[in-house]
Amino acid sequence: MIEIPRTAGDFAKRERGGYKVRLLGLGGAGLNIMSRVASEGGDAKLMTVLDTDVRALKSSRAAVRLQLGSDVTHGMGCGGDPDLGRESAEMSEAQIREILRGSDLVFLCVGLGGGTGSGAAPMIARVAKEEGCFVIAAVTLPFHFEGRRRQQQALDSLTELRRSAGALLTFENDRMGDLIVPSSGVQEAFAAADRMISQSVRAITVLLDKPGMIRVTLEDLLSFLNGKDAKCNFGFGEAEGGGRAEKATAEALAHHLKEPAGLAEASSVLIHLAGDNSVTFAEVEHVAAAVSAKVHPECKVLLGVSASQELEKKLSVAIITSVDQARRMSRPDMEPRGQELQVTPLVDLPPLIRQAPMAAPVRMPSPMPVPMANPAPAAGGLFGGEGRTGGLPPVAAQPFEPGKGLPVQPAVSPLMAGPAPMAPAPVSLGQSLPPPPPMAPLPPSGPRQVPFAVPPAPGPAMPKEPLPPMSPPTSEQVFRGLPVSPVSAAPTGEAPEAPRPIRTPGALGDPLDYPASKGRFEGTEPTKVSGVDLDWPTFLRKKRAQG
Amino acid sequence: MKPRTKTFVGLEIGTSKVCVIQGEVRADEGIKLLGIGQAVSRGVRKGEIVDFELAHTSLSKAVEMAEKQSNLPIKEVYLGISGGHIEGGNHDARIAIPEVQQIVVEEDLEDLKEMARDIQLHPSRAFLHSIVRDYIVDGRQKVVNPVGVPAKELAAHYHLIHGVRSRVQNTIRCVRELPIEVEDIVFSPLAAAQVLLTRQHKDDGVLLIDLGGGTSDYVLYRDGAVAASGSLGIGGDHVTNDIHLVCRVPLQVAERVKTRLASVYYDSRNVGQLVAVEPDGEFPGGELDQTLLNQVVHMRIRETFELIRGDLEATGMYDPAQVKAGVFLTGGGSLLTGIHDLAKAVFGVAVHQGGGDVASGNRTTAENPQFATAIGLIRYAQLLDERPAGKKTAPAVGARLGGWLGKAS
Repeated sequence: MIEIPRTAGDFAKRERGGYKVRLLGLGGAGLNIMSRVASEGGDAKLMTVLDTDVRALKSSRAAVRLQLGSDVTHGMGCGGDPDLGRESAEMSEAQIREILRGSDLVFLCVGLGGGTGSGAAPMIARVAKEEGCFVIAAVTLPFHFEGRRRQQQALDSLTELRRSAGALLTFENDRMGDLIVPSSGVQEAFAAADRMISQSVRAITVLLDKPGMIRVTLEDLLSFLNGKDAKCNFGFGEAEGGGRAEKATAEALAHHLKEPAGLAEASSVLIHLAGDNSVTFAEVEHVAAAVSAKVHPECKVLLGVSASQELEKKLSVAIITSVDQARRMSRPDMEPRGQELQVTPLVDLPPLIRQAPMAAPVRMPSPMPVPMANPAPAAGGLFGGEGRTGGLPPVAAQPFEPGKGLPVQPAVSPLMAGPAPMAPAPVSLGQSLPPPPPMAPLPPSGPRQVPFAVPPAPGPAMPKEPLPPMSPPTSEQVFRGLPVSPVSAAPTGEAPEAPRPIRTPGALGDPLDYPASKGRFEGTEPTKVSGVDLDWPTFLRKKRAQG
Repeated sequence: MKPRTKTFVGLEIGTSKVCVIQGEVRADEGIKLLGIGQAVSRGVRKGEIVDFELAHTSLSKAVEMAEKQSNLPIKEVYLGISGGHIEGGNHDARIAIPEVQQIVVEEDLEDLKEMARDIQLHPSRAFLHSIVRDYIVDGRQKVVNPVGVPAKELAAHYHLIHGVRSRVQNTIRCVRELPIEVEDIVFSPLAAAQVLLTRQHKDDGVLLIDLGGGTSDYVLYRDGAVAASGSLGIGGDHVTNDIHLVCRVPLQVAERVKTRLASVYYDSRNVGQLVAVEPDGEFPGGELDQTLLNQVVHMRIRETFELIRGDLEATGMYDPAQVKAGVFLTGGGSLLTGIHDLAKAVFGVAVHQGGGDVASGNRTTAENPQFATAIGLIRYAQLLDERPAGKKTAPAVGARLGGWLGKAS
């Protein structure tokens, strides 16, 4: 399997509804979202829930339920600690792989900020990607009232998720505005947040999985997501009886209209209209027109309609707007060597045919999907077709598309100015992988190995103690390494002032630990010969073989 | 008539560095270096482009640098190709010459080649090179050019080098987007062999190993012709990464330690021999056990050599007694202290450093083994160019490449 994730181009070749979609609910919020999706007509067979909390799992209707890290958390949740979340997921990696294998598209739904979700999400996204799935992560960011720690944990997790997720839908709970009546309680707030995601996920899966009158392909979707990373706003309305389309639409739009940037700044809008078999063309027309009237003429409008028995006379309208995230200005010295997919802005696309928003009657299009000019770049742009940077000939737009064109320049949300990636050191060769996390130093050992005098390599978990001021180094200081930081775990005393030994690999008699990460080759296609992964150090492999 | 000079450009997109060299070839076979461009390679892993944008940037930089030095624009290049997916194998073919024809004609050589190439390659793969090793006319070996020779039966031994089509196309495409045309593609060690090895070496039997950042490429010559070739997705990056993981130092420190402090010699009885490592960024510096360091490096390189030897032996072509010119090491990895001795221990023959004075101009740089491939590509271009016109066995260069370009990804 080559290391580049499958691009949308691969999916384009699939038949209608041929994608194998899997919905993953991770952590408490993720499970709630799945329940909601199920109760709104979603197919429980497509769902998998993962959590460290066994009780939560028990009450889920999802077809597959996996307890993460039973040995670590003993079924009791992570207590808001993402490290535990990550560990738990890592322990269950093999099962996670099993579950994901064979899926084309994976929706990873998670509320960031806590333990299981924030900790496990990046790892699960990575595994999914390795298994050849295209990952769309739909995440919520905590309410401000949940505190700074959760905010930070959420942002950290988001940064990592970006690496593996093919596309990222970020919803900020705070911006739900009047989805929640101010007087309602915290529970209501959370419920509304879950609904936001579940409806969006539902909207998207329905579009792909159960095409209704109008089909939207994965390319459309990805272009909707503007490359990779979309900040979304969500509005929802539901009504029945006469004028239901108008009412539902108005309700859905109302939320957006309260948002200062909401509709006017949106570069794409996804509308999901769901109802039973009585949905009429006129209703669809109305919804499309009403939304188009409110958005920028060059905003991309995607409309998916699903009509199904289950939905019982109510018409629901979900409107999701997306604003392209600012193209991240990563410092050149922090740029990983080819490991991280670059977000490819779609500004290279030539303008497609525009139509005036209101004037064009919404003719029912033929079942032809909305074609996109350039499927590949949206998904990471590595191997877009010929002449990727040269622009492609414009493609005729569907009749009712009010206007497609160059996406609006991204607006940066202050909230999304995430933390810098963890790589601490300026790099000469463009490598920015952080040093491996420090592990407890092994005691100095048998005759062959001598403990190092190198203090532990700095890692994310190491608090940054300021080093004591250095007097001009005496020769002794130079050759002894720097004074030891009191925070590190104490070694067993070697020589009286012996500096800390760094972790000695494979001392005699100790089991050889493979480091947690493959360093340089983490996440890349391994070099395998006769089934042996040669990317792991020869030293470790041979020593381990020796016993 | 005054000998004409022509300019060719060789482009090597390696894992550590991108190297482009413009050279003028003169009739006396020397190559004059007009411009050299180099850039740190980004977006390349194990010899293959994994990130177009990053690679594009590196390529542009290198090309600009070369153009600036030579004052000549670069419009087309000969491109070196590498990657663990490339394999070489020997295949034979045999045809009967029709009685009415009596002698061998050009078309027969074409037919033979097609037959040899009919080896059921996996659909994802395509040929990079089909190299004639030997023609055999009525059982007589070593017929250099059988055309015109009376014969009843013609056979040939070929060495066929093939790789995954899409991976090669990706590299080509990246270059074309610069935009620069790709005149031809060459498996990198073959190019390096053009400058590092003499005819005599090839006749005597020689093994060339190019130890790059992402891959280790090799080509074995016997009786003047390529007998085995291949590429292993293990390179200098693995050595660095091993140091990084085992000695627990940051990657960039590991890189520095590798080039400055490490060697392949170690004696496990030697304990406590420490070597100072300077601070670097957040790394506070300290000391490293020299023995452990060297052992890590030694084991990785030994394993790499052993894997190459294993591959060679599997072809049945490797016999130390038949490799009289020994092993030539080139590439950045060849500069590691003690590597010659290690190679000797594994391959059982004399080991030499590749890199010599086949090009004039900036002499010191030309001797640097890191440029061997790019210069070799120029030499390869020269050889192709010098083929007599009208010889049908050498299809037009552009036509050769036709199969690689222009088709959908």
